[in-house]
Amino acid sequence: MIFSSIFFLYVFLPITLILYFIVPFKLKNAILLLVSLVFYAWGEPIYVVLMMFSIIFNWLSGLEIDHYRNVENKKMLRLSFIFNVIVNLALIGFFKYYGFLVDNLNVILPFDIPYKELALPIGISFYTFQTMSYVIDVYRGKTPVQKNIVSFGAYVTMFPQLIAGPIVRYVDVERQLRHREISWTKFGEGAMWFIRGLGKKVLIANNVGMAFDAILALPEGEMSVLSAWIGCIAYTFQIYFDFGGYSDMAIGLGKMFGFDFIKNFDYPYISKSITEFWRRWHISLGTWFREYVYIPLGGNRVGTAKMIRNIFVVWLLTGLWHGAAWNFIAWGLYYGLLLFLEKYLIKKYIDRLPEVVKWLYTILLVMIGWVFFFAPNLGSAFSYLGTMFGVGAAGFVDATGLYYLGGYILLFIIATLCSGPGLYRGFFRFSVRKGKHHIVMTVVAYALILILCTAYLVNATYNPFLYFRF
Amino acid sequence: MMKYITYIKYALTLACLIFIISLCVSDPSSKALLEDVEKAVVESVDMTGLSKQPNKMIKRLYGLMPEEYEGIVLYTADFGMDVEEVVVVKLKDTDQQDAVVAAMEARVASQLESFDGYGVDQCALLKKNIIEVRGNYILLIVHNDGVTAQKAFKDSL
Repeated sequence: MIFSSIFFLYVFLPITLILYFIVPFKLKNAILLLVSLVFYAWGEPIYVVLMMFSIIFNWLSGLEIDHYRNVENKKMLRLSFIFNVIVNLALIGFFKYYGFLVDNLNVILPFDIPYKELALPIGISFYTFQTMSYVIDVYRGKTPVQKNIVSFGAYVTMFPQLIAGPIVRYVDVERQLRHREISWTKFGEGAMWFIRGLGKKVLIANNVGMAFDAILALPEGEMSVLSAWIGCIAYTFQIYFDFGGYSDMAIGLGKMFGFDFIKNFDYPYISKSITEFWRRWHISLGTWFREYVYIPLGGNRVGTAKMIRNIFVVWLLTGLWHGAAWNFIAWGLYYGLLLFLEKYLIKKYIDRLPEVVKWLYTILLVMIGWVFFFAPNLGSAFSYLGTMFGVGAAGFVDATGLYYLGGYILLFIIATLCSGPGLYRGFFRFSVRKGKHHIVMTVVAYALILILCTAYLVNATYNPFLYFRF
Repeated sequence: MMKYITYIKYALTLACLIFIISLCVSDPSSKALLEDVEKAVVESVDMTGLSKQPNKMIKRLYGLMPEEYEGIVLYTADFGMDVEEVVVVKLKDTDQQDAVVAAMEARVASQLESFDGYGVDQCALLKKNIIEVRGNYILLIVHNDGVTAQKAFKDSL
């Protein structure tokens, strides 16, 4: 089940909201847990067992680790923690990376290791990172243990962010599980976030996605430089509005239920350096890796050589988190290298550049990075990059490129405007001005977006979600 | 008390391991009837402009001999410029999987070659083809709503 579907919008969500709001507060977490399990089981009737295992196992681990901390049994504390981390990593490692590992071993070994490819459980990267954040924080004493399995289960399974983030650290919601503000104002804010996210996903992402798919379907050797760039631009917009839109919907749904999740995207495409880009893109993932990998490795507080090592370890893992394939590893290391260069070598030169040039430098490097992301393998990635820069391209400009440029230029302009904060801030200032007609027009605007999205969803058969595969 | 929590934790881990192993070694064969799977798939998507084809078309387009399988159903587009296609194969033996998948991939590749250069939309749709192997059942779907058909296929088994 995905948020941008008629069934979710007009059946699942209304029923869930009614159930949630009619029960007393002490039962709200239980309702959230129940509907979230239904939501998950809808798409994964078998792997919901793994989800339930994860909840119970990590909850028990939390109790155990807390007990050993209290009785100061350091040996058992450490053993219990290590066992938990191994099991969680083994779970995600097996489903996500075992096939990749075996495929690569089979290339070099003189015999084939057989294995049965199992489908990747939806959201395993997200919920495993969440449960690990809980256990690690209990181990470090940063958060009190959660003794109520229903509350813990609600945290792990919370359907707004279960399958595509943001990755919610337990410390950020611990207080909200016990007490949260549920009000019409917050509900309204949540609804606005949700509708904005839905609009980004359905109206922008899905449509630019069609341009990208069409360009990618062009036969090899028949793609011009212009077509390649249009495809890359289309994907750049698609992944941001797809993932960013979904994150907005998750934040909006969270607010409707009284939760405040941290923002996951902060207009990343206005960044003027790669360093800034990664403070604005997939913020929850960056935070997780900084908190649980970079800092424990020593972070910035070690010698230069170790700091460089830490950067590359984090970015290798970031690439791997996105997928078990060499192009994702290359993508992660690509950013590791860029961040290393910015931090140690070229920062002073970048700082001297005009703002527009800084922005151009950043957006070009980001777009090049996306080629590694969307290509099915490394070879295709380099081939596509070559085409973008004239190597192996069918000319610089051709009729196909002009056709797609003409057909999608308006959408690209709209996407560009929606990529920055200007439009939203302007609309927000308009909507909070005194005067009834401002409120009415704001409501009409949001209703229009919802109606348009509904019309698109009813009619459209193309409704992918890129980050589902993580 | 903590002792019991630890035991439960280890028991759960073992149960999870057994669950995963069972997924890996389970016999994926389905006892569903081909007619039921076909019905579930064709009713899940818009089949306007597609028609069911006789065995000789299966032989012609895929090089597969239907008599060698439990059953094959094929739907192709009525209009020559459309590329929508639905194939459901029920195998007699899972050893036949590779041959059927190869035949499906060859069919898609042949269609791509046919539309190469002038059928941009057709090529885009062909590239979105889905081949789903589930034990003794294989689905090939070339359709805008392939994902829905794929889900219906999986649910019907």
